[in-house]
Amino acid sequence: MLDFLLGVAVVAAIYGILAISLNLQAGATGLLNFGLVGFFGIGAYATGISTMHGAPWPLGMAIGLVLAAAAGAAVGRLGRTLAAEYWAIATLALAELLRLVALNTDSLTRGPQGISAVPGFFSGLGPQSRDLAWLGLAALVLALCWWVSQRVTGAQFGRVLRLVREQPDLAASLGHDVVGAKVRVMAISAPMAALAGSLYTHYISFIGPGQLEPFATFLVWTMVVVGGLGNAFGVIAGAAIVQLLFDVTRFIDDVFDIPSENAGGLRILVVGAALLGFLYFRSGGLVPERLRRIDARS
Amino acid sequence: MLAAEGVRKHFGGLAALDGVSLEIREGEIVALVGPNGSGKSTLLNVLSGFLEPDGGSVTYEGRPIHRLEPWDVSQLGLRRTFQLAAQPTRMSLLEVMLAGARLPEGSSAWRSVFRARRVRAEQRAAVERARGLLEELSLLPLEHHAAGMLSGGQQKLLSLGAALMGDPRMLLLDEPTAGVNPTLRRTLAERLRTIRARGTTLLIVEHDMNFVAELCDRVYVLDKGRVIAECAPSELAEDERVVEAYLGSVRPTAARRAPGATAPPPEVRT
Amino acid sequence: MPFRHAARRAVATAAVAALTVGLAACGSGDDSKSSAAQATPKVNPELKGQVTIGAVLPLTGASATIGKDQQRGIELAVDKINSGGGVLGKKLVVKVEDSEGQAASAVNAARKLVSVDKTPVVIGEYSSGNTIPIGQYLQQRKVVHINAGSSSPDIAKIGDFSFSVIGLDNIAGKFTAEKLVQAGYHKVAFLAPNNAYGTGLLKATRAALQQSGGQIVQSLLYTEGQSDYRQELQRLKSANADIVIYSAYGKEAATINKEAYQLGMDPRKFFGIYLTMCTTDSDPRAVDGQQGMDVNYIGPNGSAYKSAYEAKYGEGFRTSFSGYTYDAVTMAAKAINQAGSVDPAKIRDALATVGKRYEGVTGAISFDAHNQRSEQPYLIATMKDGKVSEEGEVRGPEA
Repeated sequence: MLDFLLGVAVVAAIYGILAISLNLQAGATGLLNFGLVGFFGIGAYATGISTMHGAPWPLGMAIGLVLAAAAGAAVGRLGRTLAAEYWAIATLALAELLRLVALNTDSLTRGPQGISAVPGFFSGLGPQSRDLAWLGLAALVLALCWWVSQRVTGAQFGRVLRLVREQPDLAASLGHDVVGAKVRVMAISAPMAALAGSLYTHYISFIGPGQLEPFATFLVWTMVVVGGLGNAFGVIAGAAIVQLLFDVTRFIDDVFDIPSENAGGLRILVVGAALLGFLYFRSGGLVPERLRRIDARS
Repeated sequence: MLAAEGVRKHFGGLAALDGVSLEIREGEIVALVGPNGSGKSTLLNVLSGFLEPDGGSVTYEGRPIHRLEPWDVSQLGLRRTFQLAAQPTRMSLLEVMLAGARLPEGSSAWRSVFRARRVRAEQRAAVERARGLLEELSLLPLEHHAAGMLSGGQQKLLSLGAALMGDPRMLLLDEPTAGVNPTLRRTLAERLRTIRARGTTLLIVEHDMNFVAELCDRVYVLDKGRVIAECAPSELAEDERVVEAYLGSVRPTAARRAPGATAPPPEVRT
Repeated sequence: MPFRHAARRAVATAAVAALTVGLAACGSGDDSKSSAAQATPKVNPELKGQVTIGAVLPLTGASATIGKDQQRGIELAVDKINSGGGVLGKKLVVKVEDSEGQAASAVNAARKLVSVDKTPVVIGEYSSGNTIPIGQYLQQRKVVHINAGSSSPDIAKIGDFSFSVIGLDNIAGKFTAEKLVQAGYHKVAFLAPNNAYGTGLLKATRAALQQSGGQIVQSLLYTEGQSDYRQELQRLKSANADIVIYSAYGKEAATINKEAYQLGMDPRKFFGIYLTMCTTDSDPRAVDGQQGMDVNYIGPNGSAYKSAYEAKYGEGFRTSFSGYTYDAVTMAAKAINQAGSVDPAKIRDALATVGKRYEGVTGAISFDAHNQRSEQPYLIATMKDGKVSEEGEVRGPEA
């Protein structure tokens, strides 16, 4: 059981990184990104393709970060011409485009069968220690991303983001480059998602186009809504809770003697119901965003 | 200081601005009046960079600004407020005021992360100033409240405060008294005079003729996208074109009452 | 508060979509006729206690049709084993976990089986994109892994704890190509789903055709889950090939066959890889005269399996994959009995020996040096009156 829970914890931590990334975009700035999995995929495939060609893992990860930052900035720039909902659809389309490229470009990505035998970390350690080491690594990266997120949203830049979120004209009239702010927040948050992708690829030693489907984006959205959109701590809590919910419901058919195939649908139902329930009854999430209080010290 | 030269703006087949020229000199308080649909807000948007004109030009302190982004115009020292001063619901008054300040350290994402101490120091000074301004605007007790929860009038005051945080050399105000109660209007006029005294030139779009007469040096009258008159507030009532434009609506009381009138004429309303 | 409304609306719509998917997935569990025709399995009353092994299958998601059929193979094997001597004198239980067709869930499922249910053997999955991560995890944990559904050559590299009872490298494609060229077909069109299965099959078929002197004049990998395939079929029609090799399953197989027939394409000019799977839901008129190849369910064990399947589920094979999981379970049981223990390392050694020569329901199985199945007997068949009937050889183009 411990082994199972450790596995859940590592994946929850990696999803936590994705949640922080989405929170910077949607929570702080009001950017409705429905294509988050695309940035995840950039990091994952950068790692997969580089290691496949024998490159050392830091290079793969770095390539993923740089590509994601560039892609994020480009997508952010689109926010100039596209209104919120249209931008959301565009991000969804772009992520799907990436998935299709991964699916069909055999020479680069090995197509549908994916890239396997990606070197994992901590291979010298025994299974239990390896899981603990992974948990430590994932938690460390999560903490780092959380720290960056807090700093980025804490000062004037953060205020600009929040103003862009609700009253972009007011922001512009006060001298803030609205488009530039969107570009910058995307350039900061997209690499976080890519980092999550690289980590996950090293964790299961595999990446395939099946992991780039929109469902992953919506799972992170659920985590962010349940946890508290706009609250960095909240979204991490949301990631942990939703991941736990999703994985622990695997035990439904053990406890309740439901046929396994129905249990699978039931689990998706539970996640969907949680999302809808929160949207309707507690849209702020479990840990809602709070008004920032600026006192004399800060 | 600010000059518009032959500004034209079309929306589909409609000419919202049809060759508007005006000039505001440093230190003035100028009003821009006109009936609904005359193009006042459109003109304000063009002057502040929120709309690009189809023809003509706008120069500010000698340089053309009509092709600049609104935030660049603001950075040059020309700020504006909005008719509907909608404030964010998830930011406090103090935060909105700070957002109006020029904080180069804090505005950089990089420095927010890696130079937190410097950022905090820069912010402390701004917080002091913001609270001072809020006090002048009688909003200080609400400093930690959500800005979007304020009443309409208070939100307008907050807009003004936030704009002032950037030490603008010129301010374009879009109907600053709409929705503000009469007592507050008087204080507002006082405040604007102080602001001018401190070195900010003002262009005010207004409907309240009393307010205009009390405060402004000059008035431009706009109708159907054209400037039809430019005069002192006291001369407005006499100008036939102005009266015609308003279709015989009321004259300002600051001039003189028509002999024999008993009740003060009501104010011009939207 | 425009942002709040936009965000709430957008995410609420997405949530409704997700819920609908969930409900559909829930509901589709009922379309198998298993509950109706199920005969109560007779468990040997002498068996005391139980031995549990695990399976990770796509019970929901895009490959649910296959996953559920794989589960049927497991159920039949469990019935057979428990009506006899069981495993180590105990009842055999196969704990099936849903991979949902996703790599992350598949690995999570494998983890649960290993660390909670403590299974020494895990069978799974169907899609290479899921089988490989599971296999790698099980290899790491030194638990026996049996692949009964994927055919990516990368599976051979997983390690010594990983076995395959299904032939890798898409031998099905090679077999098909050689048989067709032999029968006189040289210009061939190809249609399969755009996933690991389809692309692997295309690669193998194309290579084998070129070697034998034939060629693919038009190949199409279709996106799964569409409601209409006329566009793809039109392109195949205009390619004017001697014969169309195709492979499909689930609802699309029926749609493809129906639409091909409506477009006036001659079913006799179609060759289905895993013919049973391709035609199981299709209108008999639309597929009458279609040829194909399939897993060899003839032979001492095969036909008994076919009858048992039909008796329990009240219908013919839904896909061609249930036999492989059946073989996986029976081989695992035999290996555990031979090892005399549930220690994974011992089971691994025993399984390697068992697999040297094993008569499965899918034909004779023999493992190569990497513990992957090397031989794969297939048979040729034709559709007659809605039934798959075996033929000796492929009917030539003039016939």
